[in-house]
Amino acid sequence: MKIKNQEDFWAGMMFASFGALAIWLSTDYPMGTASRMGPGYFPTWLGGIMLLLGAIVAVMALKTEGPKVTPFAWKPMIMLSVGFLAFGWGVDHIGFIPALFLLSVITAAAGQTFKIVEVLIMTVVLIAGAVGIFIYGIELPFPLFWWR
Amino acid sequence: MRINNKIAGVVAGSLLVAAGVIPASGFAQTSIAQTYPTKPVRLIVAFPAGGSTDIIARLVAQRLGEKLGQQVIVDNRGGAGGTIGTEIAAKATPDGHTLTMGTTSTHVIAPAAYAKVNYDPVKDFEPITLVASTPYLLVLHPGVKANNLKEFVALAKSQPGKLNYASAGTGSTTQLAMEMLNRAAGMDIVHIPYGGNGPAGAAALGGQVQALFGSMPAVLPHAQAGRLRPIAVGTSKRSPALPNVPTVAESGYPGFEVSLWLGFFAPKGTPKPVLTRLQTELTAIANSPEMGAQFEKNGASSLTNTPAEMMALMKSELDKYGKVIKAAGIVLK
Amino acid sequence: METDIISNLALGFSTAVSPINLFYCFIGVLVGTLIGVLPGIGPVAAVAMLLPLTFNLDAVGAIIMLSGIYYGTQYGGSTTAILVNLPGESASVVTCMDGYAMARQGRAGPALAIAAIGSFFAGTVGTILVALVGPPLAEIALKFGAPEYFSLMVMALIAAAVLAHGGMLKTICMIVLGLLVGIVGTDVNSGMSRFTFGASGLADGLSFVVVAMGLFGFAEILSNLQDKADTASRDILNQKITGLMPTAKDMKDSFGAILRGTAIGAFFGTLPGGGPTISAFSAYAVEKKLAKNPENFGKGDIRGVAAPESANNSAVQCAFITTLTLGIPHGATMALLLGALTIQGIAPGPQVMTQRPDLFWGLIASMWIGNAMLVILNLPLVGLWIKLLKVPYRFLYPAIMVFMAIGVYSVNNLDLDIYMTILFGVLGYIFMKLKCEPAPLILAFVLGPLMEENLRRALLISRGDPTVFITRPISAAFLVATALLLAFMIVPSFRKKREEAVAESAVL
Repeated sequence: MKIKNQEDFWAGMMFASFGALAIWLSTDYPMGTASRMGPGYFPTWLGGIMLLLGAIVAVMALKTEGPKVTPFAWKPMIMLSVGFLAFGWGVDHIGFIPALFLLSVITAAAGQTFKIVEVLIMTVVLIAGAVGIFIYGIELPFPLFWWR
Repeated sequence: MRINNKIAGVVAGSLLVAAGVIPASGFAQTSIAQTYPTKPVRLIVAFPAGGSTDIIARLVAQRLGEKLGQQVIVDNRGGAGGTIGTEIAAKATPDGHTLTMGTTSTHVIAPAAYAKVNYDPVKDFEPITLVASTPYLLVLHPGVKANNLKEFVALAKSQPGKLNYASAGTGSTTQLAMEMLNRAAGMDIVHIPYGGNGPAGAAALGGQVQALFGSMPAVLPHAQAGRLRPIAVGTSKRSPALPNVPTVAESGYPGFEVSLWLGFFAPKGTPKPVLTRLQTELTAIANSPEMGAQFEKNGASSLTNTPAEMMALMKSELDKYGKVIKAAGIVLK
Repeated sequence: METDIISNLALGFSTAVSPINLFYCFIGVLVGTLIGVLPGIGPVAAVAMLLPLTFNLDAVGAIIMLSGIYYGTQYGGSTTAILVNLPGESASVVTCMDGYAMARQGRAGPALAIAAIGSFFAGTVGTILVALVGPPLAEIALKFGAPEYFSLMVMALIAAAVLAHGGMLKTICMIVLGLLVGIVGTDVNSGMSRFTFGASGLADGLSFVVVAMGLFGFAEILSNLQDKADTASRDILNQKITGLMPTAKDMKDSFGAILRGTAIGAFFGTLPGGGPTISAFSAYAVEKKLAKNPENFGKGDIRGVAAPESANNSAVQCAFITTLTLGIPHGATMALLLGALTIQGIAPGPQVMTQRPDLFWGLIASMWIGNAMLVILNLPLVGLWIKLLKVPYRFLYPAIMVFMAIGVYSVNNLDLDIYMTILFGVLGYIFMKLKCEPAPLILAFVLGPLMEENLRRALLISRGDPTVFITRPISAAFLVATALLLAFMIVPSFRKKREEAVAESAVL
């Protein structure tokens, strides 16, 4: 069978799997009754609706013509994620300034052009600006380096 | 020979250790007390900026900074009923440069009500001193036909399961206070949880619920304006703000006391001299008339004690609230 | 009565217009704008960061400066929504749709200007409304119990479907998904954590900043990095910048939108919980319904900026009423303002007006002054913000990432928030690929918890009797309105299907 509308098909599949996930996770929570709902009642029903609607979207996509899904940009996706990971880990472990350095350099590497001098200058400017605004300006309590 | 050598070794070693460590430790302690603080002090507040705990913390932090000669930076680590920030404080380096503002919520109710909390309020902290406490006030919607606690109890008993009370959330002090009263008076008033003091107050104002055992700063303005009827205070003494309103204890339930205290804690293992220094400074700050006036504006009043008293208070409250929490079947997970 | 209002306003203006208070107001607006315009830092974060600035002022000065900060950060939030597709708060999610589209067409200037003008007009009307009927209006909020809130949320969520310009079914899926995302965190009714995977950092739910920065900011950058092979050129712009100020036609087009937006905002604004958000997208939905060419919405229609921005601002104005007179905050920013008032020793409540008339009316006057200063300050700044768009994208996006990261982290000082932003960023990118609108998801995420909470609370109070929703008049009215709305949405879409077998895009 050929999938005619790939966009909608995968969207439907995604929704349906989120729905299934919600139902499965909600089995841990007491359902209660319609008149006295437990914490599991609402998410289970939402999950059910989501599963059903997702399935409808996916099935309809088999019949009607539609666009293909354009390819994913893996490199930017990975680099931006790694940059954020580095900042999230770094700000508590190696300090605000090194964490910002990692974030700026790694995310800059996600683009097409990466000129090291340019990136370093930009990073220094960004760090100076951020430290000025957030540490000295509004006194956020982040340690600047790992020793403080 | 070999034995002699061994003995000599042990003796020499011990002497060395004694010569080195004992004065060093003494020296280290005095030097810590003399030089502390060597860098800005971080005060972890386990609630978001702008909340009542944060406000008290900031007021005290500013004055403490002046007295210590180093800035005291308030670090808001809110979330999960205050357990996130308190856990961070419990695990911080115990050198006096990290402190936390603990409350009845973080150090008594959360450990008792949550299925799992990653810190032990008694074992992981050095209590320093309380600084303030906030009373709780039982208010009724003016449409409720009861002018005092006695009438209200009678009304509730005449229609069990019909009246509702609002709380600031499941496991909040506002719920526990009312559950304690429910139990003490043998009432069955149904708990309707709201998401915070504001919405709970609105529910009482609008008559969506009949009663609320609210925190003083949240409900006092409405009581003074006649929009809510105050019938009892939860503290052991009457409140200066409402001298005509009796306490729950004097209305027929002796021993009843619910209030929220706020105090300073350091991570376990913080050097004694540092703790003593902090206790001296904080006690002076909290008892100063200016700070008292500031607290008063925020619906709180100054309250200080010693680390031993604080520990005892915490243990007795853990027991008291633990029972209510168990009886009311509150489990947060 | 009327002389009362005049004398009250006179007292207010005489308090607010003192040079020092004007100065505080100006500083507030300026600093608020500067911080609020940093990508990733929305009003909540900005107000929280700037709060300590006001601690050492007297009460009137502090509250005047704070309201300046609030307006500034809020406008700053709209600025980033228009320029770089980063909504500062839930209400500006709506502004993103047409505002960012306008920016990409080189019309960021008119979009920013109309947002400022619309906000000013709405602010002026809001101020007059507050002075005239504020306190009685606030009482309406108290009539809203759990059933009323539930029905209002149902109506709002159905209306959210209007926002989409894609397929109806996918939009509904996004709304349901938003509701599910809103479940994450501690259930108010039982105290149980749901969908938190044992992480205590999720116990209070996902913050708006995390979801919005992920779905909008992070995902947008990903898509830009892919689309623009030549990152050396400026990239946000598809076309040349045409004019900084709105044209006569723009003004004419927006006029009705601003008026209607203002009215809608005033109507919903007094309701605690979601007032400004509901106002913003209701206003958008109304404009789209009234327009002769609804297909332009979402593609850079100036009415799609004017209406929600006006509605948002008049709602905020009215939100001040309930915050001050009832002590009930509308959302996080108002809660912060309330906290700031308390620190000044002012207990918000009914007696604020009688005990501190200088403060109450001074604030109302300063609300208007703050709005006026915002326009005076921001219209000239429009040129500056536009210049930002000319910064080569290879410098712009790391800067956005840096500020986004700081903004997200500063909300709770929690690294988990950063990781969750990555998750939502990747998810948002997938949504883009699959042509799923993120705006309805965000709105459902904001309103959903209120809906479930109030549904269960209503049934708890009624002891399980579902008829409360139709026996209480306000609730019943909302449900009738919902039914009408549904009929309006479904009937035309069927008719359209019959007329053209292949609907090119099912606009509703």
